[in-house]
Amino acid sequence: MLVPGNRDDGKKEQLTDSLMREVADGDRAAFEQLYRITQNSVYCYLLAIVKSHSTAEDLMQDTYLSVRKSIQHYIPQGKPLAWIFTIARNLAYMELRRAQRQESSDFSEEENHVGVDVISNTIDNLVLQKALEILNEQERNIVLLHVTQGFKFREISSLLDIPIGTVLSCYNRAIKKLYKAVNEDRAG
Amino acid sequence: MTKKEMKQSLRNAVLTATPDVLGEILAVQNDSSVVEFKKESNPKSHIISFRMASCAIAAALMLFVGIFFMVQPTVDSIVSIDVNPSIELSVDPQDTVVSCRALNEDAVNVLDGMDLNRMDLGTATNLIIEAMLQEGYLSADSPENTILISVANDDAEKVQRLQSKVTSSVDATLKQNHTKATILQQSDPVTDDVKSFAKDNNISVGKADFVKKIAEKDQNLNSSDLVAMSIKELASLVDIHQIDLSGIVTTEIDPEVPEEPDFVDSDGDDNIVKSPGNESSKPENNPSSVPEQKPVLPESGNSDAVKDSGIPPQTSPESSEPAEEKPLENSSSAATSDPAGTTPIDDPDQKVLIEEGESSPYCEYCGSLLSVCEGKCDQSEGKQYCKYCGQLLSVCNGTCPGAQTSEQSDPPAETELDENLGSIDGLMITQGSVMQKG
Repeated sequence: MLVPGNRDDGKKEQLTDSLMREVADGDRAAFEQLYRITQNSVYCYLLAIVKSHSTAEDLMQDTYLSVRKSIQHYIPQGKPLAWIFTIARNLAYMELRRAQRQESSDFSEEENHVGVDVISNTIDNLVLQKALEILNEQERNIVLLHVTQGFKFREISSLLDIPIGTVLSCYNRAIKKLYKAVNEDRAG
Repeated sequence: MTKKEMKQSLRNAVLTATPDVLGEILAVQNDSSVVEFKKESNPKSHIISFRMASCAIAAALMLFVGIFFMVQPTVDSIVSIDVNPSIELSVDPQDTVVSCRALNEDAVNVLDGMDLNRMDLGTATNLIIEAMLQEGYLSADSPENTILISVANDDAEKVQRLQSKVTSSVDATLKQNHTKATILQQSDPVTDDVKSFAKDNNISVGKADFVKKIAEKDQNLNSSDLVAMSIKELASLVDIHQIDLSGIVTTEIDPEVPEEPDFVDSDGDDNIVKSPGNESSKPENNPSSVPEQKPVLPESGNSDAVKDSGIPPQTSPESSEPAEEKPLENSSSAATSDPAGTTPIDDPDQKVLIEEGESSPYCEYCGSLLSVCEGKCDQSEGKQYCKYCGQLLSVCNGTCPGAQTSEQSDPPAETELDENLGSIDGLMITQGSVMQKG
């Protein structure tokens, strides 16, 4: 599977089963390579679920630890990123349930952390905040993976196990909704 | 802002916000974070597994306890045998010995090397009595052997059955060893007081009950002093103090002399004479069995001796049948005494007796048992009476003046008398043996 590569050079590197096998053999360089290839996608995916930068960061760390530990059980099917996304999703939902039990599941209060602490550009921060506020989970996933990581709609459909038509319509609806919200906010 | 600018801003925001946690991940050497996730779920699984293990252990324990109690034999009755050795047998509903306890040193000596468990009560009793005989706690030479048999059970019918079973076993063993003994039986329910008294003094519950009964009957006696006594000594004490134990214990005496034929046996259990309350079995209370008195009755003590002997006369229909039928048959002795006299010889045992030259237990004249006839019948057509004095030849015995005169003047008469005396002497000997049976 081809996934967006390092943000620095913009090259697309491949996350293949052979790389996964090298990681399973304990190759540290292979693991670093795996991390560099997938870190933006995993973060996007986790942020779209939990809507919190700090929580997404913690879950990102847990996800890679879990990948490193469980990679022996990976069955090569040509979808290594989908396998990593499954681990990330399970951890994210587990954290949501735990937070829900502790009655602190409202991550919206922490959304400001994204813009204030990390994102220096006000407009970028505003767009991201609006995307996290007005879009639902499915729309966030599709928009973030397509816009920020360059996944094709077919790949998103495969990764998220959503019909391609749904992905397209959902994406168009989400972009319109976000565009309207951002412009209204800037005008207001 | 156009859509393109919006998408670029969104891309920049995400790429900027993406953290780099590779260093932290690589710093975690032992994947402790992952372990922590598992630790969160582990307590639950541990609790579940602990509960399941607890349930399994409890079920296994219940099963084990259930099987243990099912296998454990049930004690239904407690049978105590006391002489001086005190032995307590726990018996299950099938009359099988479950456990056996020796309550004093003598009992330990008796039970040495003996395993009575899973043995029938009768067999166990037999072995115990034989061991007591071998060890000398019961002796064939001692006329004062006393055995206390106590049965404790709530069911009176079962108590009676066990009593008779144990007693018959003891009786059979004593009979085999030619030993006489007084058997005391008691079957009252055992109270807690008696149980604690037995436990405190390390005696059987039967002996404890017996001792307390004696102490209750005679206030001068202290039960704690009686505990150390053997059953024989206690029985002697009862006699000395004339303590009435009727209604408390049943006494059975074994008076049998095993060497002698027991021809007065009517029910197969004649060797036990129930002393208290069984006076009806004595001969004087059965006048119907005594034959009609003859005009001339001897004044000798033979008749009284028979009555005092304690041997019941033949009263049952079964045993009286030969007395009525056998006179009609010819006997081998008829040729020497009287042609009309008959002695039953159809009985094989009787034939053996005659062939061996032993005296017949039947009167050669009337055919009745000698103990019944007592030489008073007149089936000899007057030949057994002295022709001079009119008394029975056994009474006269040729001592009357007429006979003495005739003896001097009439030798043939003397010969005839001698013959008659000879036959009567034989009868007398037989009678003597009968009388000695008492």
